[in-house]
Amino acid sequence: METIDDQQRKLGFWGEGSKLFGIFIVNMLLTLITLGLYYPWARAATMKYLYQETEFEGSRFTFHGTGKEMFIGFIKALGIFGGLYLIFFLFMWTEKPFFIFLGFLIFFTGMSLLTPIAIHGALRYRMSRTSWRGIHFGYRGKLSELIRICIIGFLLTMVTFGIYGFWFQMKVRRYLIENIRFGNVQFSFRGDGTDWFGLNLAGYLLSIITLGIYSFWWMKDRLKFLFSNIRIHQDGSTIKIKTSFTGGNYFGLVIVNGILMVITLGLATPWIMIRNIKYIFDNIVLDGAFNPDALEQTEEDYRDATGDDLMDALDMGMM
Amino acid sequence: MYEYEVKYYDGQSSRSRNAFLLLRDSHWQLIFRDENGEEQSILWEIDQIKQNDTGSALNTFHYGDFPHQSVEIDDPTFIDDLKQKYPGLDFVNKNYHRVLTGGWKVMAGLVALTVLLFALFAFVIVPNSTALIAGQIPRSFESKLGENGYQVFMTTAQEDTKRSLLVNRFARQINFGTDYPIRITVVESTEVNAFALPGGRIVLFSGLLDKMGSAEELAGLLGHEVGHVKHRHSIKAQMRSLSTYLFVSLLLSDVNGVTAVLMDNAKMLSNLSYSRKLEHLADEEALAVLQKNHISQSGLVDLFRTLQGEAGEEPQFLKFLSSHPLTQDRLDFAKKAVAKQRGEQENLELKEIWERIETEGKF
Repeated sequence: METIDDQQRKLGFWGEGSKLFGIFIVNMLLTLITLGLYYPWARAATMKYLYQETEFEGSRFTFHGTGKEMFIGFIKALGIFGGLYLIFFLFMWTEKPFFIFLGFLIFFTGMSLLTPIAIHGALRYRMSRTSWRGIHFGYRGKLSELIRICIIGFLLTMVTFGIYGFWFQMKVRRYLIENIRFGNVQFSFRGDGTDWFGLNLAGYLLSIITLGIYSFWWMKDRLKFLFSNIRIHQDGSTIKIKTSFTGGNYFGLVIVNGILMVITLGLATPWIMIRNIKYIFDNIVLDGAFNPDALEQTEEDYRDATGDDLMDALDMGMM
Repeated sequence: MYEYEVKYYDGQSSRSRNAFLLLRDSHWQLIFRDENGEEQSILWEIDQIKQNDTGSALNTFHYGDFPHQSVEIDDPTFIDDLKQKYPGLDFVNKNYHRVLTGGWKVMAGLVALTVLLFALFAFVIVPNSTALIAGQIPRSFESKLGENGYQVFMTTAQEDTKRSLLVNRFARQINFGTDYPIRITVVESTEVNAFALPGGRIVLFSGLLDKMGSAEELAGLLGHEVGHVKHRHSIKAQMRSLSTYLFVSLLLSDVNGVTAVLMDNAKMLSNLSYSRKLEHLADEEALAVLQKNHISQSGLVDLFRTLQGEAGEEPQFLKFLSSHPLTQDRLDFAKKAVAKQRGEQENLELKEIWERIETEGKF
C-alpha cells in the first residue's frame, strides 16, 4: 500500500450532450404517458447517468437511488404537505379566532421545520446512494442539531433584517460538510460568515456601479469561496481544493449557455448541463496526499428518499 | 471467448483490482491476484447481478446486496456480447440502449412523438378536462369565491349607492335567461370599465356609466357581463391557467430558468387568446339577451364605440397580444348582427330608469 504524496488530482467528466438528450427524451415521453407518475424514475435516470460519467482516479461514481425509492419518498412528501394543508384548512373552517390562530401556528411551524427536515433527509439519502469503487458516502449529522441551528439562524436573520443570513448560510454549510463521511475520509469547511458577507457586499455594490458587468466576477468569487474552503482529511493528511475560476471563463460559460438556450428554445438544456458540470470540474484541483485504495466501507445503507423529494418539491416551487 | 479485462471492487474497501471476467453459462467468473499474490476466483450468480441502466459507454455492474461488489468494464463490444451469450436476459435497460444506439432516426422519431403528445396534452386534454371539472364546481363554492373577491375589492372602493339601486332596477327589467342572482354595484371611479365575478356580482365603474348614452347601451353591457357569469368564465379561465401551470411545471421541473421564462410567455399568450375567446362568447350572449328582450342590438355597437373612443386606436401589432378582441373587430361583429335584427321595440320602462340614472350621474 503506497501513499502518493503531493499529487494533484482532478475530477473527470465524460458525459455527452447527445446521450443526456436521449435520456431526457425518454424521460419526458414516459412522464407524459404516465401523467407524471414516471417523474421519480426520470430523476433517478438522469442522476445515474451523470454519476456514471464522473470519474476520479480512474474509477466512476455510481448513483444507487431507484425510481421506486424516490416514488415512495414522493408519496410521503406529498402526505406531509397534504397533512399540513389539511390541518390548516380544518382549523380555518372552525371560523373561531383562537383555532384559526392555532392553525396558522401549526402550519407555519410545520412549514419552517420542513426545510431542515428536507435538507437532512436529502443529504442522508444522496450520500448513502452515492458510491465510488464500491464505497458509499454517508451523512452523520443529527436532525435535532440542524433544526436548532436553523431556528436560531432564522430568528437572528429576521432580527438583523437579513444580514445575519450570510453567517447562517455558512454555519449550515459547515455543519453539513463536516458530517459527511466517505470511508475513513472526512470533510471540513473553513469559510466564515464575515468573509462571505464581505464578498457578497462588495460584489453587489461593484455590480451596481459597473451596471452588472462585475456580476460575473462576483459569481466567480462565490464559486471560489464555496469550493476552496472545503478541506478533505484522510489519515491525518489534508487535501485542499485549488480553483481556477475566473470572471472571464465564467462570463464565457454564461454567455454561450444563454445563446444556446435561446436559439434552440431550450432544447440545448442537456448540453448546457454538461457544460456547467465540466466547467466546475475543469476548474478545481484536489491538492494533497491521498490514498485512493485505503477507503473502508463504514457507512450504513439508507433508502428513505422522503427528504430528497421534499427538497425537490421545495425547489420546484410547489409551495 | 467472452474474456474481459475489468476493474473489480469487493465492496469492503476501495482497493482497485485488475481482474479477468469470464462469462460462463450460469455465472460470471472473476479471477484476480490478491495482495499476497495468490490467485482468487469469485463467482457471480446471474440472477444477483443488478441491471445496468445508466446509458453510459463505460459499464459498471453491481452484485448482490449492500455492500455491493462491482466491476467496471470499458469494452465497447461487451453489451452486444452479453446479448449473444445470454439471449433473453436483460443486463442493461433496453429503453436507453435502444435510444442511445439507435442513431438520429430513432432520436428524431422520439422527439416528434414527444412534441405530438405534448401538444395533445397542452391543447386538447388539459383544457377540456379542466372545463369539465370547472363545470362540476358547486354553485355555493362559486358564489363564495365571488363574494370573497367582491369583499376584498370593496374595501378600497366607494359605492355609488343611488345609481347601484337604479342599475339593479334596470337589470330586473331584462330577462337574462339565468338563475344566477345578478347584483350590480356602481363604483366611483374614473376608470372606463366593468367586470363580473363568479356567482353573479357585477362591478360597474362610474367612469363607464358616465360615458354611456342610452338604455340599450347599458343593456348591452349587462348582457355581456351576465354572459361571463352565466358561462362561468372566470372560474374556467382560472382553472385553465392553473392547470396549464401545473402541467408545465410538472414536465419541465428540471429544466432551468430560461426555458421556464419562455414557457411562461407561451402560456401567457395562450391564456390571452383564451380570454379573447371568452370575451367573444360574452358578446354573443349579450346579442342574444338583447334579441330575446326585443332591445335594439345597436346598444352593443354604441358600447364598443364608447370603449373605442376611450382606448384610442390600438396599433395593429398589439392585436395578437390584447386580452379583449380588438374593439374594431367586436364593433364589426355587432354591426353585422344589428343589420339582421328584426322585432326590436322601444322599452319605455328601461328608458325611464335610464333617464334617472343619467340625471343622477350629473350631480
